[in-house]
Amino acid sequence: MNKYILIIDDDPISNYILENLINKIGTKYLTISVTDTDNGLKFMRENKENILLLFLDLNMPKLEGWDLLNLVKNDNLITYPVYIVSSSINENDLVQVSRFTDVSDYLIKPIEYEQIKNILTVHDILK
Amino acid sequence: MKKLISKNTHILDVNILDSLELNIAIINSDGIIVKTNKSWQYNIANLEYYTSGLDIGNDFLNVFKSNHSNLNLHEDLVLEFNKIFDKSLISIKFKYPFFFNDEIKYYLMTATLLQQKSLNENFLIISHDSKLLNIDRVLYHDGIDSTFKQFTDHVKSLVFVLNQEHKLTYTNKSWKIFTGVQPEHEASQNCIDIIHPEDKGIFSDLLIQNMFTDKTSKMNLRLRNANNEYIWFLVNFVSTEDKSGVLATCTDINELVSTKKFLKNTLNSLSFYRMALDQFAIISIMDTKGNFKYVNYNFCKISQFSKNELIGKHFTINEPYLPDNDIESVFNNLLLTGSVWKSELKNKAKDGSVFWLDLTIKPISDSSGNITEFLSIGYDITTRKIAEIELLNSNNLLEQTGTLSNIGGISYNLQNNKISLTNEVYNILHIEKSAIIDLSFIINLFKPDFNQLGLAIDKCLATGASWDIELQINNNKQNHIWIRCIGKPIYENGEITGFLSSVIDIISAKEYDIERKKLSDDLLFKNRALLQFSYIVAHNLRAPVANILGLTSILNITDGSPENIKTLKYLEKAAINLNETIKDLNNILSIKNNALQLIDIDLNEILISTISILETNINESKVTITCDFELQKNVFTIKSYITSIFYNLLSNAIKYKHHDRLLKIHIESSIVGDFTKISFKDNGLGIDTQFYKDKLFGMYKRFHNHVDGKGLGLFIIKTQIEAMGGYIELHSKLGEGSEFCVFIPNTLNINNTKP
Repeated sequence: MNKYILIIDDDPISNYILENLINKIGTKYLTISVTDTDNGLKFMRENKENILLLFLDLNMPKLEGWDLLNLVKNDNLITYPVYIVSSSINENDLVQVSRFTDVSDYLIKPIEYEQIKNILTVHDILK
Repeated sequence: MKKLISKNTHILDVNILDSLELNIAIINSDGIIVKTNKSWQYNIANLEYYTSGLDIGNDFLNVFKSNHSNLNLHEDLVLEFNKIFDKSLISIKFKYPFFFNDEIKYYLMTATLLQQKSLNENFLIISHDSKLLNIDRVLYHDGIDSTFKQFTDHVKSLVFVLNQEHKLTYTNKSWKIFTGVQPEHEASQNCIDIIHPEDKGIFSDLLIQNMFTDKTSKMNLRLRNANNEYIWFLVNFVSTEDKSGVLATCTDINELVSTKKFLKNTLNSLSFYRMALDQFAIISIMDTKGNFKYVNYNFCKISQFSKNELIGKHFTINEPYLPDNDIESVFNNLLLTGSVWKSELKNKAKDGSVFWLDLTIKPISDSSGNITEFLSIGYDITTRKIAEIELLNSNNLLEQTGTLSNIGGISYNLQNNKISLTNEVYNILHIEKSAIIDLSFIINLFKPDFNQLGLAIDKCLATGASWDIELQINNNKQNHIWIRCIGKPIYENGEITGFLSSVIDIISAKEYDIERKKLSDDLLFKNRALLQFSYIVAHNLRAPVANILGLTSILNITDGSPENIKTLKYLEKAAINLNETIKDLNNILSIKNNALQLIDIDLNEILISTISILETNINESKVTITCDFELQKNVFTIKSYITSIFYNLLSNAIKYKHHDRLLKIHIESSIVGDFTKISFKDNGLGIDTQFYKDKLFGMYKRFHNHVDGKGLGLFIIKTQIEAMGGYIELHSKLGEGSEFCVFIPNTLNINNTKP
């Protein structure tokens, strides 16, 4: 069965950049991009066991990244590392991140090559 | 006589002669009477019972001749007169006969030579030595007879004769009227009975010593009249020729004595007044030049100079000061006009302290009207004057306070209906300064709400209650003046004598409230807009920039045409700049929005972390950084701000280093007043502080063209420093280097001020 790296971000450009970086670094797993939280949540529920890594954007219409995290918090849905990806440099957002112990790190866009390479290395999902 | 004559040749002046008690006639060298005085005319020439003829124009010796049957006597007299004119005799005494009731009587007369220098003529003066004494004696020569009685009854003087047993043997008509004693009782009367008890002693002494000899005596005695009052008399005593008794003539000198007494009393009270004045007043006497001739004790005391230091000195030694006049010209004017001058005068004592006198200066003139000196009488009014000045100051203060706080005051005196307004009332109520402020004016002013005010005043009068009411004012101009009126009664000796009320303009207070609300709404709106903007900056602006940066990093810049490569490079650079700007903007906005935590921060730690951030740049440029935080190791403030300040100032220094020399930066801390000063000194390019002045810390200001600064750095740190309650200074010289001094308050007192 396939394992996935999941990206939930409403901005397709951002998704494209991140996918592109991951592919450049190279991994044996599939990168899945979802541009709305509904589909994202659905995918997370259906493939609970098969997700290796989640890159979650904060500012999305309908449901924000935080809301999504709150929703799945009690379901023990997340058993994998979560990286918040945001273009926000607002300090309040940073403060909120620290409240979620499940969140591994907060990445401010533009995400750089070295950052992703480190993450993939840490979680041993390089090719 | 001689004395008079030798002293003053004007003896011939009729007035002088008239004033003499002597009977005087003046005869020229031809023997003609040329002048007589009043006494002569009354006592000698006009006695209707006696042969007259001793009048002006008559020949004195001829009259004598016609009256005197004894021609030898006449010839003797002619001879003696001639001797006087020859100056072989100075004076002669002679008897002048006259007929009285067909009998010859004699005047005793003295003739004296008088030389009238101006006319170079000789005159003879004839005098009757004493009014009546000698005549009476002459008359009495023959004992008390009808002639003597008739003569003595004719005169006003009291005449009496005493025998050796002090019994009255004779009294004249004037005596009888004076004493009121009936003739039948007179014989048994002792003259001593009517003499004042206090005078009896000297009277008796005199009688024992001098009476019944040829001596004559005079004394002042008080004699009792019919009304039991004692009257002063000058009494002349002479013994009768047979020495059997004493003849006394009494002249009323009561008026003289009472005048003397009055004078004595006046003198006494005058000296008392002077003493009293000396005790309380400050007295000096100046000569016409203004030099002190006399100063009293009080004057020395208040001026602190001794008598010796003042006498002979000019009065300006006390530095008298008049606000609107020159004291010396006042003095000179007094000398000219001789008028009295009165004023309150400020002076200086020896030690320089001020004293005030209520002063009156009066010029004193001699009999011919020339001013000889100035008498100055003053009273110490220093205490009152100082109180007055203080009162004036506090009144001013009150007025000014009223003006500053827009509070006016009205006072109303019930006793005289006097109304006083402070200046601020005129401003608040828009009353013209020229308005006549009386009761009707005030009633008209408060007309719209007079009932309300009236009720408050009635209640105050009845119970002493103060009031606090809002009233509409009618000043005949604007209808919308509303005031708040806080009043209370004024008491004097437990009685309400008036009211005092403050006047506060509530219209402007209301307007102020509205204005303030509008302003705060405005601010709130702007703040919301700012928050929104800050959100937009952080998210909506930031996201596409991040995307552009991400996209450019994906592109392989070695691919494609050189033009594309160049364009892509510039695109990347532009995106980086935009990204930095957005970061800065976000920083600025979060300074305004966030209340950050204050903690104790180790300056050395901050420096080390800043250096580590800038490590690449520092190594590249071979920068030497030295520091000295010995004087102040820590600051208690916001960490991120301090970090930002260190980062910005150090990176600025590196950016604007001088290309001819290696960059050296020295950072040092110290305490200046309530502040910690952190100084960042470099040997870089420097900034023309004169030229840029106010623009130094503005947004988007750059002072060097060759480096790509965005210019927000200084603005950001200035904003951060000010948010911490501090300030920043720049000392710089173009081409030599810059020193940024950051001042951060040591305590959290927002009221810190720049030293």
